[in-house]
Amino acid sequence: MAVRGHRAPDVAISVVPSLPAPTQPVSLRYQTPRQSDGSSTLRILDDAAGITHFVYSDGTLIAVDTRGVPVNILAVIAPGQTLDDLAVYLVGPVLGFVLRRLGILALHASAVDVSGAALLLIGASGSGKSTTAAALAQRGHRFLSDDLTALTFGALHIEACLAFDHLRLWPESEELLLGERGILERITPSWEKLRFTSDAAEYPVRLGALVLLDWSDTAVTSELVPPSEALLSLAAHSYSNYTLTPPDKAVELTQLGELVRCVSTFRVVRPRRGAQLADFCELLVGLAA
Amino acid sequence: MPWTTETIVVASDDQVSTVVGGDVVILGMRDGIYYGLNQVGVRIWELVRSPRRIDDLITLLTSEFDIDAASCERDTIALLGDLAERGLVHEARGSG
Repeated sequence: MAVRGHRAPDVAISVVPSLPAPTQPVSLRYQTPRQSDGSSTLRILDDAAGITHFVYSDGTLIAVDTRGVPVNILAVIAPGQTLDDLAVYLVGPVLGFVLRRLGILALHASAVDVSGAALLLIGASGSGKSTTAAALAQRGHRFLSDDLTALTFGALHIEACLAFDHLRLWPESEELLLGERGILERITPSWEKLRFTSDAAEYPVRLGALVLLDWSDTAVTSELVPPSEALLSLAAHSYSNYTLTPPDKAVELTQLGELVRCVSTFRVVRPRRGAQLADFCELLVGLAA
Repeated sequence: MPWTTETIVVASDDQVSTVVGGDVVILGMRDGIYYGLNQVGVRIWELVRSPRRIDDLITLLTSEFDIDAASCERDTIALLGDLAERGLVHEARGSG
């Protein structure tokens, strides 16, 4: 069915019972570090036909064909798992891979609209991106994305794209933000992360500031990061960077260079204790302005 | 053979770089790793974008920065050696 005002999809996803065998020969693009039993949680393989295969140890299989438009994705749900489990992979590593293959810069970041300026909260897993975004959402700022933020480079400014209708929180963050546990529902039965809903932004928002999140047991502090240092830090936090080929990385360098020339980067140290969360949010709101 | 002041060096084709905030960030295409240079390193990088004898580099650097020739020679050769190890510069044979 055609919907007026909507363009054709960029990505088509089909859930299928099994995948066609990869065209040989197959080359390994990436694998997660081996576990004690010698297996890897994820292996990413490129087949001779140009299709990329995500092979998860739990049995999830995803084949991504980025050769045409729309990008065509075939996915097999692992035995005993649900569509929600599959979606976790699709909107994480697979979406990140597709964006980067299409030359779109994506960062390991959550984004919040602070009075018309997007604040990008950047950091590794566990650095508090989602918790901070949720804390700002509780203070009336709409969120744009969680964990993965795609950026578009326009003639006038760089924008953070919209993604997802919820934030994903660990139970400790639920307790920190809501005062107790057991209020939020799990995203999938097999995963501890919880669904935090709040008002999401409706349009992409121009970037206001980039924030590299760090922890400390002391007070909230922030410092402006020099552009070259910011670029190197952002490269470490670019999404799916482990899948990039050298030519992809050359594109990334150009994009990151433009990003740090246009938008200021701050390193913000936040307390582990929740008592200073209000101060922390206040500081972040000031940076976005 | 170790490089001397008579060696001619040039930036490799296996890299891309960009200038941000007065510093240079270089991406080695061989290893996919980013490297940062600042201050005198930025000027050295700028100069070796085309083939240069190391003693020419030292003459230019000592005229532009507050640094003595001996320290400049030692530090420049050391930096160029580091860059060469990472495939970012190499000796320009037959260029001089």
